[in-house]
Amino acid sequence: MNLDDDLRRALKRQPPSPDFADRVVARIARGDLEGGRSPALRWLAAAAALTLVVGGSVRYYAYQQSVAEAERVKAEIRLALQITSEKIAMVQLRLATGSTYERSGRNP
Amino acid sequence: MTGALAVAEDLDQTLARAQDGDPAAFATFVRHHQAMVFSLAFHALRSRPAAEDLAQEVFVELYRNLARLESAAHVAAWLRRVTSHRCIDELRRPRRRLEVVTDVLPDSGEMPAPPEPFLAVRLRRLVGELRPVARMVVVLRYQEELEPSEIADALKMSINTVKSHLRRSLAALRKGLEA
Repeated sequence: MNLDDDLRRALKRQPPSPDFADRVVARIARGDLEGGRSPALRWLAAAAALTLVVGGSVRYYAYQQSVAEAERVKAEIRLALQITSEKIAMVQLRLATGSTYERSGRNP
Repeated sequence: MTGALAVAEDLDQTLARAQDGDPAAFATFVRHHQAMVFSLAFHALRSRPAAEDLAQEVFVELYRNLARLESAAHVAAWLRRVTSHRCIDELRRPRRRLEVVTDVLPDSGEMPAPPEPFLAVRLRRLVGELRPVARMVVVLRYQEELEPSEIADALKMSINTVKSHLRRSLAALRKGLEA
């Protein structure tokens, strides 16, 4: 008995099913290339997607914060302008009233 | 020009056409190598459906990597390496699908009668009991007739490790046959 020859006979090449090549080409033609991805690649893709979602959420939150801050500053400026405007109006009123008393020769 | 050289040149031209996106050229490559890839997987996994699935995935991966391959010889070596590593990974998976042994006795008219009708079946079963890497070394050595240096290159291990696997595997197979 020659084990080397016996192994060669036992492990000789065998053909796959007759439509094997056609099935491979059809799978490629319909763009079904995902099945070949290794588990590591699938995990990497999932991790990348998660990073994008988390990164996007953080940026959106930061954007929302800056919008809220801008709104707050705008409201403060509006209030300041309103106060200033009222003060000016009061000064104008006093100036106008003062002129009337001066013209009539009476003290207010 | 020898016949083998002409075939190699033909395959190099076929590779160039496949790289240009010719599906018929790629199909030619699949047909040329399908027996090698399928048989490596079949002898390692001992399941025809699992071997066909794995072989299909190897060819899909080949399609994705086609642009990086430089020659027909490079394609053959790449296919051997990727198939071997995928088989070892599959064999190491903790909850691998059950092996469906699909050995069949040869038809009476298929080839000259082997010295012992059941010997090939027994040997395939014994090879299937070897550990994943040792099993792949034996399959590459006796299916593909590779030298230890070529097996070392395909499996990214030293020649001495390959020789050691072969020596121990042959001893285990002899012992199994005697049992």
